[in-house]
Amino acid sequence: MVGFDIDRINAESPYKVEEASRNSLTFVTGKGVNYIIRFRHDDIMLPGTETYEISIINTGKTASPRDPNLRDTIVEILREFFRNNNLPMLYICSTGDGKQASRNRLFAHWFRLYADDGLIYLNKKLIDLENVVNYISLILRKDHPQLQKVLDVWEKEIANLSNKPE
Amino acid sequence: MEERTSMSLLQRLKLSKERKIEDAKEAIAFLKGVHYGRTGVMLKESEFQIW
Repeated sequence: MVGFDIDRINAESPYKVEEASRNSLTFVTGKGVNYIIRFRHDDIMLPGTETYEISIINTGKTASPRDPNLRDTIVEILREFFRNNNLPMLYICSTGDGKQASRNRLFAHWFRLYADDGLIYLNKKLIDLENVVNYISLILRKDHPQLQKVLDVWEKEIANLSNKPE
Repeated sequence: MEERTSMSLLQRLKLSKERKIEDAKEAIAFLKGVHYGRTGVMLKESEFQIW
């Protein structure tokens, strides 16, 4: 994965973004909430593809409801990821607090705001071993050199198995 | 790797979610300039949120 051009992100981002560590960016919201946006290599969910999973981490407990600057900052980071990397990206909504459905809707809404015709967005619902509903999204560029292979793996590994008992 | 590919999707999802939480803890500790783990700080899931 190629790094980020922080200056390019900050040219459009409402909040000042900084590099936290390799593949991690951080920023502080207007309410003083510190976020980490992390891209972690995935070798489990889509085997045989070089896929990264995004984590949006609120480092504290204070929520930032309806903060358009938070949304726009994350959208700029996503834009930069796909500008620099022709790699598939997974987003698996966290389920620990039971808010995964609203996160899934929010992420889909943000993606529509991003509105890049050069990207494919796929989304699936999956019931896990603890009977918890999970939402998994895959985003990738239409010009990915192994587009069909990635879509085939998604179909084989996730889409075809969604909501089927194992 | 063989073990991973033989795991079911739901087992892999569980493992992926566990790794994501541990990874978040390490990233937060790094940002705060502290060492995470048995010899460092122990973060609890209730102290942060992953979307």
